[in-house]
Amino acid sequence: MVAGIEELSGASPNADPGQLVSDLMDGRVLPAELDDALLGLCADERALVSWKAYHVIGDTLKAGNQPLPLVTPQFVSKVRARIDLEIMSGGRSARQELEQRSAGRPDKAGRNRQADAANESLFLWRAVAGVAVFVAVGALAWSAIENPGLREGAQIAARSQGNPSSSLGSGGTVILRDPVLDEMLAAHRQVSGASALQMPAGFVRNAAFDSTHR
Amino acid sequence: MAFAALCGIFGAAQFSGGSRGPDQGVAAGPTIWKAFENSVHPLTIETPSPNLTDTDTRLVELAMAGDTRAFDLLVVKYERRIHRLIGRFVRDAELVEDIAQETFVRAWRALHQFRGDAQFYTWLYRIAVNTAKKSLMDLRRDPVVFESTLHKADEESETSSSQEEQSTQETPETEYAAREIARHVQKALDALPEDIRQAIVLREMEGLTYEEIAVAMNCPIGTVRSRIFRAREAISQQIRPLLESQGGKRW
Repeated sequence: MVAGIEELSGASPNADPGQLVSDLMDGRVLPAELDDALLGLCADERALVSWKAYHVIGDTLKAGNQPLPLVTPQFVSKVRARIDLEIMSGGRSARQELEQRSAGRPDKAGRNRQADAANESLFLWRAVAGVAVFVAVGALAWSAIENPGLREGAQIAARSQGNPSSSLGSGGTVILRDPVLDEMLAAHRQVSGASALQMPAGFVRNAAFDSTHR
Repeated sequence: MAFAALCGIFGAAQFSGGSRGPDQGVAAGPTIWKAFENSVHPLTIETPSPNLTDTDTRLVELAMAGDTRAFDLLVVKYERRIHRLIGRFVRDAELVEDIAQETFVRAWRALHQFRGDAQFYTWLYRIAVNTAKKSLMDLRRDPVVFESTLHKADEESETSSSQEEQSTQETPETEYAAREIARHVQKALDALPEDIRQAIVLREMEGLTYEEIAVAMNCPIGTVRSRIFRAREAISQQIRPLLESQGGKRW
């Protein structure tokens, strides 16, 4: 085997930035020198250009006959702008958020980043929504305080009309009877063949209250 | 390719040794997504070779420490793969870019969840798929969404392939520029000396490690390293004017 760790790159300061990028792409930088190599890459504009060009070459070769999707040069800037905006609004990096979570003290900013509300940036709208909810709850509470016995009074009024009595029918079913209604029917000597809760039968034209058989 | 068969055993061994990405806990989506996930698992398409030093993991650590430049390097590295991945299901190029942006922003938010037990692209792949799923779900709820923004698996026929179609927002100029870059890369590759060309092809197209390339080409690893760098530099000289003409010198 011709492999050996001595063949790994020693990211020397005089090394060609392109060679450094090539080594970084293929993982040929010693772990102890990786940080210096990455810092050197970030600080060198030529190395950054090589980083992009070498990856375009690699992706193009891997793609074969199919051309790669052309990514706009502003794509990185757009992503960077959104991340910068989040950093400014959140005021903390992902590392700080991780430390917050591991400490068991999730703060407000961290929660907001997890579930961004549609009106996150509109404090005025949130304030209006809060006031509206407060007013609605207040109105309901006021109406309840203003008429505390409304439903109870209605029930008492219904009871005052007379309690319907119940009796057991022949089939063991419970039949509700209203004594006032019975009195009225007896007084007028009429009876209907149908229940009060049903539509009247069309073929019954007259009915008499047969008091002799009662 | 003559040496592709020679080194096929290396490639097969390498692809079989990967690890599956973490399950990000996404509910099962439409059938189209299941078919997609089964057909283009990251390990079967473009898995980087195992690195002696994991540059991606270190870049993630630096980004978590607040170095956004480190995260920029990851974006530059993976932006094309993510665009292509999303572009397989979304026809609208502007929508592809929006979803790709959202993918990287979500990845940045979730960097602390990347434990390094899987490769960064495998992790990013899951985020991209989940982000695209969510975006398409939102679009389907939108009554004014156009069906033409979605790719469907049964759209392709013998005479029509979605990969051959031009996206609605893709202009002939961008299509031409992409093909120009591919053409220049191929032209520069063909112009390389044989040993240098073999080294870069074995590395980039066959995915071999330096050690495997050294065995295949019967040369020291240092020579492999030098040849790969010289190949990259020579080809990049040909495509840099094209990259700069797209949008200035912004890397």
